[in-house]
Amino acid sequence: MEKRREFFNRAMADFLEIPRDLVLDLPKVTIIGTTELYLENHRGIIEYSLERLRVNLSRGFLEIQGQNLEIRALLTDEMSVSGEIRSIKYLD
Amino acid sequence: MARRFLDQLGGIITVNLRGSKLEKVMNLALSRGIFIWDIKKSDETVNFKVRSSGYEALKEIADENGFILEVTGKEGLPFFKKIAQRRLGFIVGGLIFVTALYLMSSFIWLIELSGNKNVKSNSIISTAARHGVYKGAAKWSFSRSEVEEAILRDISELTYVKLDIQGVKLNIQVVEKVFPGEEINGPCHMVASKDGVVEEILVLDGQASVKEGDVIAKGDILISGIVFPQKSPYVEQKEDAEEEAPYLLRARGKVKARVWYEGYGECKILTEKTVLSGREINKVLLETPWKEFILKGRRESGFPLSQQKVTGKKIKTPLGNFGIRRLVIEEQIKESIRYSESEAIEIAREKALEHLEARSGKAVDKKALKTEILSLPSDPVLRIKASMETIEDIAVARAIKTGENGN
Repeated sequence: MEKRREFFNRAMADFLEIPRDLVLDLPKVTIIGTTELYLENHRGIIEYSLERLRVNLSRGFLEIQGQNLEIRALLTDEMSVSGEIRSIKYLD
Repeated sequence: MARRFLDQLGGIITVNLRGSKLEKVMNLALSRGIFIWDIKKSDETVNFKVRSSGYEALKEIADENGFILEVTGKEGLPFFKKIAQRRLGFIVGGLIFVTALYLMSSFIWLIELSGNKNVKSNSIISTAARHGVYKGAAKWSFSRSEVEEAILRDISELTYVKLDIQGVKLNIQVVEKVFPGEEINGPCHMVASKDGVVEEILVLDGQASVKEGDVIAKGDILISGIVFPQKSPYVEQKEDAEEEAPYLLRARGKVKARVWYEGYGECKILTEKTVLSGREINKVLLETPWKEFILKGRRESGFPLSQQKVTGKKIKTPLGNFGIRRLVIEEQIKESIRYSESEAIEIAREKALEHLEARSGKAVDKKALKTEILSLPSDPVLRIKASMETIEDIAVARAIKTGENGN
């Protein structure tokens, strides 16, 4: 049922040429160099330490690894992270 | 930028959160719409910032879930109030200063007047004062255009007035009316304005009373405005024709005459002059309404003959004048100078020339100048007479007074 709805949404987004992150509630990540990261459409923080930040998404979660990680701003579905970013992983 | 400014207005609180699973507080704050930022972890605690409006709600979350929330810093306008209360005197002083500056600069303290030649400055300034513009008048107490109009109305000799306020200085610019010169329209003679010998005469209207070569004195009639009609030798006259009566007109014409000017100058052969010896005393005085204090220099003047130069500044106060005066006393000595004859002649000649220029009212051509030594060689004073000869128009109009003797 869930999969069917997702398929339908994707087809509609393709047909109407609407950005997928709006229709499918997908996360949007913007990285500037290795020091700044903007994340839209998140669902809260799972874990936060100076070396690792895990953020919950609508499906799965995002793991950011690095050094001196700092959350510069935290809004209901937006966040900004700064620090030395080493890797970004999507995990289920 | 705008958000930061609003944050500063509302006040920002920096907090330190302690406990296990700190992410929980963040997520709860997120879900309740409490905006937190600058989240940084250190050891087992986390530091972040929150708006002072959201602090109470955050504190509640922390308390409910067994976290320890500690305030580590406050910034922004609401917290500045406490500092302001402590330093009330300073802030009040600042406010008084700004207010005083504003108040003092909203009065007119200086008045400058320009553009008047014949109308007295005092009368313009007193007229302006009558309409509310004087030293110490508030700028808002008068309207510039109204005062301008009032001054124009009161002083009829002015054609334009402009009041220009620059800070605390008022510039009054005026333009005076130029009246047409008085022209004689009635019957008149042309008379001599100076003594001289007539060189050339040109009559445009009227009857010539002098001819070339005549010696004339000041005030003599040169061209008469009373004309006696003469019989023309070319027109046949009737025997019984009545003689025509004389008539009056406005005489016109030019009379060029040779005119002399004389100037006199003298020079003493032996003169005494005071000159500066080069020695001087410097003094600095502090002036108060009660006493004068010498800050530098000795009390006595020191020289039998001296001249003083005074510079300094004075401040007028209700108590009296305060100021600092700098005195330079320069010694003078007498020196006698003996001029040689040629030097004395030169000096006397220069003086005679100046005198001559002042009399004739024009620049003198030195080549046309004749000089004559009046004094004897044995005289202690050398006297010189300088004379100059020019040819100029000396005729001026003078109205004929009628009605006194019936003519």
